[in-house]
Amino acid sequence: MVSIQELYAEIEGKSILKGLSLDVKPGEVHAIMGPNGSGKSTLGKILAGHPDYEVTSGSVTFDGGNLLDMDADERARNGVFMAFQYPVEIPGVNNASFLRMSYNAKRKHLGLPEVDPFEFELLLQKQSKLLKLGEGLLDRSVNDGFSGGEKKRNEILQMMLLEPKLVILDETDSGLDIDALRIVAESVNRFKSPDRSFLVITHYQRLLDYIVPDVVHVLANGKIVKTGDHLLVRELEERGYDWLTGAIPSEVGG
Amino acid sequence: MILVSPLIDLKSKASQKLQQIGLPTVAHEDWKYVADQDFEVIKSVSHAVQDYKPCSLILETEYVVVLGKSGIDQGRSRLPKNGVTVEFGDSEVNQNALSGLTQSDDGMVLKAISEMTGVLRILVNPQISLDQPIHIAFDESFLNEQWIQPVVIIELGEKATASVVVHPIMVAGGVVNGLVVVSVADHAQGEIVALNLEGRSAQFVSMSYRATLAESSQFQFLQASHHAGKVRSDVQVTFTAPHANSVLRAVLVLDDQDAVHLRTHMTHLVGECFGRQLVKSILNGQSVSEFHGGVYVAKGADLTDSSQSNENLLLSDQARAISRPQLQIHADDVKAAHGANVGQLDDRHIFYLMSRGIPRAQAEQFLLQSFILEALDSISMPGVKSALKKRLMISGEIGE
Ligand SMILES: Nc1ncnc2c1ncn2[C@@H]1O[C@H](COP(=O)(O)OP(=O)(O)OP(=O)(O)O)[C@@H](O)[C@H]1O
Ligand SMILES: [Mg+2]
Repeated sequence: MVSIQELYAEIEGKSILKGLSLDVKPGEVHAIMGPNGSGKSTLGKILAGHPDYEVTSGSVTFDGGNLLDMDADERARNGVFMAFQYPVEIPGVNNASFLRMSYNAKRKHLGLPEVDPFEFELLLQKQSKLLKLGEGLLDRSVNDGFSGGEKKRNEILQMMLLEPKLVILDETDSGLDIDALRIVAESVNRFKSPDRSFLVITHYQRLLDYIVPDVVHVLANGKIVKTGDHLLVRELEERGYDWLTGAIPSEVGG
Repeated sequence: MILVSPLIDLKSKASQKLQQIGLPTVAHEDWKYVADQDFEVIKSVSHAVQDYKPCSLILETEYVVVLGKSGIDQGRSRLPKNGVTVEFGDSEVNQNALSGLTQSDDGMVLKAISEMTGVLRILVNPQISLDQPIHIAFDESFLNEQWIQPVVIIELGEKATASVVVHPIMVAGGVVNGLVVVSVADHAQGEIVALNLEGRSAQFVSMSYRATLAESSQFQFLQASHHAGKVRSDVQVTFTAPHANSVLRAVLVLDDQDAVHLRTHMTHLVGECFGRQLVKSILNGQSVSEFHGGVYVAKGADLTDSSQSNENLLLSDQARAISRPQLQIHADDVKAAHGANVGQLDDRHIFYLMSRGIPRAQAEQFLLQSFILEALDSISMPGVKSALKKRLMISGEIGE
């Protein structure tokens, strides 16, 4: 599905990814964990086509093509989707209109006619109900004044509408209450399929108890420093990251 | 038109005051088009055919008053029948409505009054709710004029409801100086949409609106500017009794050399009224938008809630937006605020939309459309609303 080779990337002259390689096969769920600031969101945003990051070397192959050649919108239409850690608020832009425009962009790409607005309304209602997303949120401005959890659910709603092939979830669990976490995880699990892959970025075991990963990576200082199966999650939970990053554990007490 | 005494009296009073203070110049305000030119020597008034077609904005079922230089063009008008008086001429009521303005400190208003040949008066009787808007359009008889100075009085009786659309005057080379005086009685609701379109071939277009609001009345005003040319709009609302509510909006979509100088002012003589001034502009080319928003709260006008906001999107390096909010508050318990910002489309917003598959150009257009949508959606008249949306939102300046 996606194959990342020796990726180096920087922002404003600061190097962030330092030779990162990763291979995700169709149908697989990969978890990415790692310390704050290690480059997890950066990796996701580079895959999504964020223009602020500059890839200085390395390659990313997606579905057989060169992903880095495409603009963000083209990537999205071709099946890359990132649920952002901090979804941006867009005051004045109606959420439902935005969702419909996005849905239609995808349909156009597939050679389908625009969706009937009434049918789309029904589809939205159905999907929001599954996510227990208040319908009021559809009539409001995109993410504007949404609570942390509402923003995350709005991201998942978009994922469900766009039916991507590669889903990147960036700390989708943070900000969700216990019930919402379960609801979102169930939606993701229902959404799994043999030709869809997931990169799940998270700090916590809890999400990975629901969405059980096939492979778990630790990203530290711009590189994958450890790869294992889901048992690695528990080990990280117990031991932290210092044993992997080579940092000296801080002394407790004195 | 034979002038009878009330108008002559008003005209001479206004003319005396005008002689004292003169037309506004850069010394009074940043409006420079009057000061820069000597209008008396302009000779070439051309009558180019304009591409503005008012009919496309007017639905079959809606009322139309077509005003010519010497009166209402009855053949082309479609006047409301019951409970509404539409007349051109002069009367005692005109005198009442205009007498205060003969001492205005605005030279443009004084000039309009001192040179008027008659007044278009629309009177909506108490309790009457007009189901359709009234369009005021101007016919070709103004074309030979250098100064085109229509004076319109709109009076809503108690509990009356009406919406009025003021269409632009199409005159190449001329100067438009219109005055619209509105009075909204207790519990009445008035709405005005001022179309400031296709003014580029005029020397400049100046429109002054003066509204007086009685108790629990409402007044909503929206100016839409597009291909506007050189414009001075001055909209002033005076709250004379409590619980009145007024929202003034402007949507300016400007390009090339368009320069819109918008002055809005709310005077709270009494408390417990609600006022909003919301101005949004999208500026391309070398266009300029200049907003002077004022709030005056008199002593004792407590529990006033009056604020203004001015948002500008600059789409070119050479466009400019100037914002000069002014609050003068003499009461204690008042909610008043102003906010202004000037900027470009937010890259983070564009990226978010693109990351959901929307192409860049469409994303940008969608953001611009959304920027002005709320204002256009506030228009209660479906015909005008959809025509303006079409015109402003799918126009070249906004994309595609
Ligand atoms: N615009 C920027 N300018 C400078 N540095 C940046 C910029 N954006 C990100 N960085 C830096 O890049 C590094 C990686 O950030 P990133 O957001 O990818 O971390 P992360 O692994 O997602 O962390 P977290 O777990 O806290 O979400 C951080 O040190 C961050 O400060
Ligand atoms: Mg992050």
